[in-house]
Amino acid sequence: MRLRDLRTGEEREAAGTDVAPGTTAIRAGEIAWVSHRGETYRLSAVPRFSSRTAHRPEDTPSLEAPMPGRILGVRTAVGATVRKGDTLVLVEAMKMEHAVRAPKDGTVTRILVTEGQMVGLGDVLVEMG
Amino acid sequence: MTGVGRFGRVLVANRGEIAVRVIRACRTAGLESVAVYSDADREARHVALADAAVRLGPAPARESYLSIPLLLAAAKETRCDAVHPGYGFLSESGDFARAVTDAGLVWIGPPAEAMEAMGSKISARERMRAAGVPVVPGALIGASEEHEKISLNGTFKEILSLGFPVLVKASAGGGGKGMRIVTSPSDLSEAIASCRREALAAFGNSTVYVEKYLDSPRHIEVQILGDAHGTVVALGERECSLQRRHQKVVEECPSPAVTPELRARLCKAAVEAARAVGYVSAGTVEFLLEPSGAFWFLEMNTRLQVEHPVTEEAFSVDLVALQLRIAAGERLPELPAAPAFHAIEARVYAEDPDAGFLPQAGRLLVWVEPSGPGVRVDSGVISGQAVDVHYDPMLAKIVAKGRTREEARRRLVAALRETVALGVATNLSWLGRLLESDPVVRGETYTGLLETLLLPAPPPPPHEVFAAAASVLSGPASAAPGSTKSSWPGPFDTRFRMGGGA
Repeated sequence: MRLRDLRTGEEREAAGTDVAPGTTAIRAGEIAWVSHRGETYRLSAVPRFSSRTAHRPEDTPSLEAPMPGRILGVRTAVGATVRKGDTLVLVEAMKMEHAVRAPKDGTVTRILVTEGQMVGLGDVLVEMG
Repeated sequence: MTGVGRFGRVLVANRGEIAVRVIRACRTAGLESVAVYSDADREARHVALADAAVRLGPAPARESYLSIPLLLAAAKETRCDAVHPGYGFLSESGDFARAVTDAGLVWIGPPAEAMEAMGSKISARERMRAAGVPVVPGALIGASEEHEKISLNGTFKEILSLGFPVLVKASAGGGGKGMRIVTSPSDLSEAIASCRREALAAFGNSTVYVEKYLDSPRHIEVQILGDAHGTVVALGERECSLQRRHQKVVEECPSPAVTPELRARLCKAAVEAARAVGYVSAGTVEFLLEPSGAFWFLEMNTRLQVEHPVTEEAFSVDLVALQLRIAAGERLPELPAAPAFHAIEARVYAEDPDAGFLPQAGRLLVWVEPSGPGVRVDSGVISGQAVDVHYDPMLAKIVAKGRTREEARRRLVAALRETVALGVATNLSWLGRLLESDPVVRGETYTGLLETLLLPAPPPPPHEVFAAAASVLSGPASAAPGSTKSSWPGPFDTRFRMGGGA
């Protein structure tokens, strides 16, 4: 099967026959977690026949929650013109606050969350055009 | 039940590794311990370890670990006669200490008055200045009554006169929560508003204050112990300069920057600070040490510190056992005058260094702790445990000691590499690379170091890693030899394989 290392993006073919000494692996959903010689890796299988589109943050039309947490505030509005780096949404988790910022100049086309709402990792918060 | 005199059963009003640490100390002292837990912590390590456990409420801390009525009810229900607050949560709440004492229970900590005197950083600095302890220059903005008025519409002129950058902090509590460096006046109101919200969420108190930011200081803190008979002693310093976003990540004892002469001066100032507020129990006086050797009082933490194990290992003492004896009214025993060992601690956080160190939540599917000569692990987790978004993301502290700093450092690097954490991203690999970096190897650290230090990237995955991933991602788990289907509950499809005939 074809596998991708989630940190480096490196892809390689491998057969699932053997786990080498000094290696521990576990599957969680679609992710394989591997500990090998003191380092931890996360990998996923690359679908065989799908056209893989590279994830390019500057082209992402939606902004996702960077972690599970609570929406502290929405700092923009639908139709607002925003500059790259503007704070759009504040998320609180584990007693820390994180600002979700505009990845580019553009217009806010949709807001999917409200203050006080709990969100999961990767939930879409805002869409930009 | 023998106990330590005045009490025999202790309610441990905390969670995670510090609850585990206190439960162990109780057991060693011949005391029974009662754990408390929220709905998120039903399967947690501290709950399993204690002699009994009481559910407090739902996961949010304000409805569980921060609820004084629920904690007192738990103590009453289980007939506890003493309360240990751990660190964080209500450990520095004078209200909690007083409520515990008023309920006829022994409070294993400092007097409420001492906590309150040090709890507000503003009043603490005034007390310290009056006691002759050097205080961070230009830190105070008006008197303690006036600082309440510094709001979004308030007296910016006073703040601006300090010059930039300035530090905005939560007045209650430590740990860097809510703290921000502000480099320009235009960012100040947002920083204050944001700090207020974080302070409210973390400590239930939205008071903030602003101080002058010192360039390249070290964070040095002194461990003190006071008994109810008026004896206050200092147990050396801890070097805590390695901080990320004002959160300590690596601490050591002794500090490579502190000479015996400087140690004597630091310890003297710390003892004076503790005496000025009638301090009893374990506490920590924090200083900023400038390259010139000048040091300034930062704050006093009126509780056990997260990083207390490095003092314990370097001095061969048990600080929690001493807290129990002090609370029972005993006099402080003879304590070592100087550290016999060097100890270094690394904090393992559920956070992803490859994604801006964002806190991670999920299920810790595999957790294997290191061991070996000079290695100590204070951990609050077990394999299969959920890491919840509601609490601090620290999973464990890994501590190594040695006859020299270098021996301790090498042991710690080896211990970190031996640790396995799968299912939730952690900073384990990053900690190992940090401890191998030149400034840390040389002991040349300061509080801003991690903002600029560039660490080498982790190695790319070798072939064995791809093969192992393919093994768990393909085919039924039971088809291959050496594979185990996990019995952990939850939404994860977990299949666990170890190499080497495991």
